[in-house]
Amino acid sequence: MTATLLALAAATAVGFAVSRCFTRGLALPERAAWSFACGLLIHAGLYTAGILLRVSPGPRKLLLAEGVVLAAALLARRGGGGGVPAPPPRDKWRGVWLLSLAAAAAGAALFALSAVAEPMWTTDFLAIWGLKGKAIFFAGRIPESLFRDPELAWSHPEYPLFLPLLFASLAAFARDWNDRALALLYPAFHVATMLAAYGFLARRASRAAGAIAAALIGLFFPLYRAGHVGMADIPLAFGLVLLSSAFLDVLEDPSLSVRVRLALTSLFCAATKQEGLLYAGLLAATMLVAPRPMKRGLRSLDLVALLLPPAAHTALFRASFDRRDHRDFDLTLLSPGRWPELSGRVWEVAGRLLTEEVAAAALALVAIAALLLCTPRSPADRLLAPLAAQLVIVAGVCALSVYGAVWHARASFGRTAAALFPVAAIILGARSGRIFQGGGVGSRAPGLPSIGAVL
Amino acid sequence: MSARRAIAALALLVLVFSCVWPLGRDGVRRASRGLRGDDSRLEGTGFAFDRAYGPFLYAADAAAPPGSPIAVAAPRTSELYVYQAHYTLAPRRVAAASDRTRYIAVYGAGGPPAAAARSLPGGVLLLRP
Repeated sequence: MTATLLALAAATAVGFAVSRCFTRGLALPERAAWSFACGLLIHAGLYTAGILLRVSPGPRKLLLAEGVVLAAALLARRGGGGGVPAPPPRDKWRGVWLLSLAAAAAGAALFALSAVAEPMWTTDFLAIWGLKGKAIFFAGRIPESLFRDPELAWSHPEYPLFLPLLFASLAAFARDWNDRALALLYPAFHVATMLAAYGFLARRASRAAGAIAAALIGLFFPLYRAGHVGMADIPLAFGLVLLSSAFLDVLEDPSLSVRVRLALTSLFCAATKQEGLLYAGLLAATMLVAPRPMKRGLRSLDLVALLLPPAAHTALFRASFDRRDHRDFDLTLLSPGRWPELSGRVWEVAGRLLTEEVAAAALALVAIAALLLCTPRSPADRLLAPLAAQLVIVAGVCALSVYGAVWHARASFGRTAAALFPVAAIILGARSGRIFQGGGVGSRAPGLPSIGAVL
Repeated sequence: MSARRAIAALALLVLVFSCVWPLGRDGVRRASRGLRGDDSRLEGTGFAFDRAYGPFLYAADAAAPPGSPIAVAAPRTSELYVYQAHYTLAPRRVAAASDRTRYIAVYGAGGPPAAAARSLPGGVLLLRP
């Protein structure tokens, strides 16, 4: 456990040094979240470089490499853009702020305890993420068998490798595959997600808004529970929150720093799960239609920052590993000749989702609808369309499943939809914070209007 | 407090309640277990579907030479038999029985049926000539 904690701390420290170049103007909670994301990408990246170069990276080599990156980052000039924000004003509803932060902390503690209670055991951990990570760690390379062995066809060779490589890199740091210690990653993701949402909203809306979003994320046990530890949905939710915050920032302030953040998180999301790639694509579509008081031509740079890293990652992965002999989805269902069959499957999925998933979440959905109706609009609402589109697509692809539409919906829809909730919490926090703040909005960084101010 | 604020506060409370509710007693019990923790996979939730299967897999792993592939014959009643075999035995390759692998771990088989077999807890390890 100690070695894994040290590995996470070392990665975050390196991430902090590197992210200084593009997080100027962000408050400490948000910077901590960016440091964590950046550090994990660097840690897994250095480990991957090590195994590709056959240098069998252990703790010393990893620490040395991270030390070099850290020194180089400290020597580099800090990036501009964003400016330093004024300290946020004391919220009128300070009680809401305190209560929400206490709730978030309680949720974080509960999840942390349940996450590390025992070695990771979830089906997807055993069959996909943990299996690949363990195989990579012990082999000291990325075994071809993960992609070629017909006995492992169910382990989804087409899934991205960031999470398995991250597991393997943390195990390499500890010189031991300890699947209980590796579970520490999940409470860390949980806390980092809350920090990202809190920091973003405290900067762009109000501290109350940030605290409400953090509390909603902290107490969202349909996602943050032991049954999801070891899977990719919790890391993805963290990536989606950072990507959403960078997306909202770039719409208002297309500086180099914000674009770097956008590129970093779009890579993080695409390398974690295929839904991350989809979300980046949907944000790009939203960006194309979103009005923005901007100089012409610069939007293309935003799109490049958003789409190039995931596109490059996907192309590299397919060129290196993807054998295309196993797929979850039968795309021939999209051909006109099979439309009648497809429509039957769509109805099957819709029926299943309405009678089970929606029914189970009815109370939460009514509460969300009430919040959306009784709170003022906010620029964070720009996330509503891509979020809704992602939900519809995730539900829709169940109809294409080779395992049967209802089986796929039952196996994955609830979990995949739950991973989107932290992004929804940003929207709900931005709106709720405004109504509880009583109209006052604090001064923000130059070029970054507060969410309330543009209403 | 305006009506809109009151509705928003109520909606937030309902939303939080609906998020916390799934935790349930089981979640709190699991979290309380985290205070002491348990490093053993055998006693954990992963083998709750069949407590005898974990010791069998670990024994098969110890009985076969390191690195040699093993075919595992286990019930098909749950896909967890397959996933646990692959994960527990990794990085050892778990082969199909048709692969002519030298070692076949048969779960649920009684005592050594032949000379070329070793008894394992809950099964046997067969050695193909």
